[in-house]
Amino acid sequence: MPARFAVTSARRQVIVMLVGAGIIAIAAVLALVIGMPTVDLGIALGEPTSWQHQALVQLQLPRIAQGLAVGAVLGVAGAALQGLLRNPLADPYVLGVSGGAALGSASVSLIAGALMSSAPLLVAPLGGFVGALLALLIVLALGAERGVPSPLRMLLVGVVVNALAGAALMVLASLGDASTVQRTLVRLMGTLGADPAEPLLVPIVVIAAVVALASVMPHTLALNLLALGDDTAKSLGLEPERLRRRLFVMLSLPVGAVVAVTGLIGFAGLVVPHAVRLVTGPDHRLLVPLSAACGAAFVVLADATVSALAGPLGTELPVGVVTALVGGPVFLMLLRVRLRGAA
Amino acid sequence: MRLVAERVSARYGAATVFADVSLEVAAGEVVVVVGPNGVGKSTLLRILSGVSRAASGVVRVDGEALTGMPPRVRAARVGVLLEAPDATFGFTTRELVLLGRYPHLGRMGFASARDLAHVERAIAAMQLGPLADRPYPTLSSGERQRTGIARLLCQAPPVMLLDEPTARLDPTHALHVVGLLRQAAANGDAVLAVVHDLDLAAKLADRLVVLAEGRVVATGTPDEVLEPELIERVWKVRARRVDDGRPSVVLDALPRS
Repeated sequence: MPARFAVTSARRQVIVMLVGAGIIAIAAVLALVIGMPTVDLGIALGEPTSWQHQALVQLQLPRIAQGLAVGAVLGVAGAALQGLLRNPLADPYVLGVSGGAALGSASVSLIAGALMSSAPLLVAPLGGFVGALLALLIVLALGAERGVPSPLRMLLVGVVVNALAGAALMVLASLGDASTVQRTLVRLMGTLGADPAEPLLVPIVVIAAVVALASVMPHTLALNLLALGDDTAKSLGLEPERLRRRLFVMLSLPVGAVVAVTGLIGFAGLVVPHAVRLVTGPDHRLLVPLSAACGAAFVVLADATVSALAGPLGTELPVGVVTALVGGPVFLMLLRVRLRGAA
Repeated sequence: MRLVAERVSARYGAATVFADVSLEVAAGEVVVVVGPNGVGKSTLLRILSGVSRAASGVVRVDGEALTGMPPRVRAARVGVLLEAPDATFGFTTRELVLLGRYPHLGRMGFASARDLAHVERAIAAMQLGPLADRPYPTLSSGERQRTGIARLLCQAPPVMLLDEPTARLDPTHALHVVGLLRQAAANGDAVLAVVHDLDLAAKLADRLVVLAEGRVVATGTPDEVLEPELIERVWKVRARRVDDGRPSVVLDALPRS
């Protein structure tokens, strides 16, 4: 009889998923309570004709759904990229993938806007997808040594890609009027908020979250195998290059879509998997689903905080400011640990 | 099961590492490849395991070419211990050993009671019990090496290939591994290892293959191969033999000319 020990079982995975669902539900309720300080929830829920009800249904609920979906995408993408690249510092924002997506979506929106009176709905997310994929391919091509991803080199390439994408975005913005510049700056900081004029944007990010989870979950055991290194993983029957290619494409789709819709929400994909790993351990079969849930909770609560602070501050900060304020120091701490380990 | 390499060649860029190497290892025997540094022993092992492709030639398992096999089918037949990788994330020893079952797991990837029994046997065989729940990054290099061997035992392939299985191990554990691999062969596995230490190679091998100057220069039992003249020609060291059932080799540096 083998000793009792913690090896991931189907039962454990189901429990983790249920816990994740609970976290999402609690975060959504909290966001509802915190995020609408001027609205009486009792009236909003009880009086369908009140303006509070309209604000709840048309603005706040879609915004919460958007925040949950965006956070889930970033949590899944961060956990998957860290495993795929054997790099605990990987995340779509740090690696320049989000920057590439922002540039891609802005470029195609601008071109489409110049060619026709209004850009078709899916143009920006598709541009984001292409931009994210290109950025990821650049990071992989220049951040690898003899075909094997090098963690610190990838970070440096990511920094450069981010800087280039940011600069190119500002050039694009300067071609437009003052309001375009303003919109671009806000996009760079990351902002949630459902636009009643474009009701399909919320379903797009929800679909993006489903695509991200559905793409990564079947490969979570393979991600575990990559911890052994590419060669040993290959000897055990995995095809690391093929897995990377497939997941890069599949992750670029949702990351591109959420960046196109909400802009750059930095560090959520970095911080969340690290925090979750403290609870679940490194097994991606538990890490990925719980990162989705905790990423959703993190972003939606950060956004609710932004809404709650809007009154006292007199202006609403972009949600990316809050995630960066939390994530930036954590990133620096992890980098310090890693550099100390490499020394 | 029988692994056969037919006229296998390897190149590094434009340079030929070795050419037309043919060898085989059958069920129940231990073949050890020896040779000086840089002759391509590890490259040969990677090709034999299917991790790398040969520039020319073919590797077959029971007559079937390795390159044509689905990766997991290949991994269920041929397993390899390569150099211990750097640690990423905090997997425990037990979790890493369990990853050896990957070729045998079902679609959902969860371990069965049989898989878990394999894990416990492998951990016990490599005397890793007290370290089983320790995170891999906290292990010493020798303990990591033993974890790698346990992972290979857990994989339980009928053909086992090992690159320097006794590297970084103290004499007690090195001799334990030699005994373990000989027992695996006695149980019907085919074992092929690359070993630097000629004395350990002699203890481990049924047959030795000497790789030097880009080709196989000698093959045979340790008794046949480990002649002082050959050792001096290949390794440029002076050797004395001590025969005690199996030959032992005592080495001295050549006098400077």
